[in-house]
Amino acid sequence: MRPILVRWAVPAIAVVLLAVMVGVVYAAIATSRPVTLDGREAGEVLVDGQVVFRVRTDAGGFTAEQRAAQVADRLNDALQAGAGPQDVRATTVAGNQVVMARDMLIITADPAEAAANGLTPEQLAREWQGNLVVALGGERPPSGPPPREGDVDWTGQADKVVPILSVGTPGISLGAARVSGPRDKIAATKAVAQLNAEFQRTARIRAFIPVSDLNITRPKRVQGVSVNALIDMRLVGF
Amino acid sequence: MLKALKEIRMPVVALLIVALLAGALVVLPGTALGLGDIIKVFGIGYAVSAFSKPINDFINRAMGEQEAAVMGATKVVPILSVGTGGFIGAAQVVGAPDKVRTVQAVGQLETRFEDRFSMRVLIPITTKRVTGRGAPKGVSGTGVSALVDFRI
Repeated sequence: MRPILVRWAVPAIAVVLLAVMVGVVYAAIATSRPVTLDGREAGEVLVDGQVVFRVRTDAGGFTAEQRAAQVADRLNDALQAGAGPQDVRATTVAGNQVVMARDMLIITADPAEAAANGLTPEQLAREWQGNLVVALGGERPPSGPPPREGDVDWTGQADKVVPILSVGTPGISLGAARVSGPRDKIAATKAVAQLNAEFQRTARIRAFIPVSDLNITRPKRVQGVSVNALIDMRLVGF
Repeated sequence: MLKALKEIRMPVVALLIVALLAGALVVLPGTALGLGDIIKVFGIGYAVSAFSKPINDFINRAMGEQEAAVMGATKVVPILSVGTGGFIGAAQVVGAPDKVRTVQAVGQLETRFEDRFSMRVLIPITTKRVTGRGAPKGVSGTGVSALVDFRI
């Protein structure tokens, strides 16, 4: 009786291990590559070798190729977190048309990018959503009004103090901020990235982006978290 | 003739002053006067009201370019010093759309602790007055996503 159990146990464990390995290996992988489109340098994002996004314009100080690489990184993060075709949606976020996977922003269909593709930002976001869903094994979603902003939980159930890091000068700490939001989102928040900008040479703007990663050259925003206090430390006393 | 001129001079001067004031008061974003001019003439409170939408759109666009757009409603409102009640800048608030709609300003309270640390507490509130009787009412489920400082 016992040798029979042992005889069956070994192949059973092997089958289970194989299934787990196949599952890991089978997870889709996003990559990017530089291409030339209409005589201009651009970047393509691929999922398992299938082109899902073509990034044709530079933005935010990044070339189209760099943006494509960032999008592929974000997509891999989402896929590793278990996102599937059912989690991909095109939506409006603060006036921007974007493609999300779960609560992770994958790519923004900004007006310049949409114009370069001969589409409106909304049409481009829907097109990209469809490409990604199909590449992940789902069915292209039917056309219709996209969901709007406001489906994120902004309830301030928890808070904590995190460092403020400069987006412009990575590695430079600019003080600390107290952030608040839902407990799981606060747990995921590692820092606040500060983005500096100037409006009409009269207004200096400091935008705060709660992020889940200390590598803020490509900030990964934690949605549902906001700042409610800023803390400065006096380093030298006089 | 001279007397008649004197009689009509006062109303004409008054009319001219009213016309000038009216012309100044209808200055809106998009005309030749910029944000800096509006602040100098009317102060931060009016400037923030007049430029709330373009500043809000500008911030959202900048965040969008960094692929860090916020999933929630946003709005730019003045910052009020809880101590003096004066307008001292502007802030972009973020949160659920129904909550953000009720925010009128951000109250700022400055505090120090352990002699080395200073803290600016920023509370979205439902009023533009923080002096007088009663504490301003905070709006839960909202927070600050950007600060705007003006050069005067």
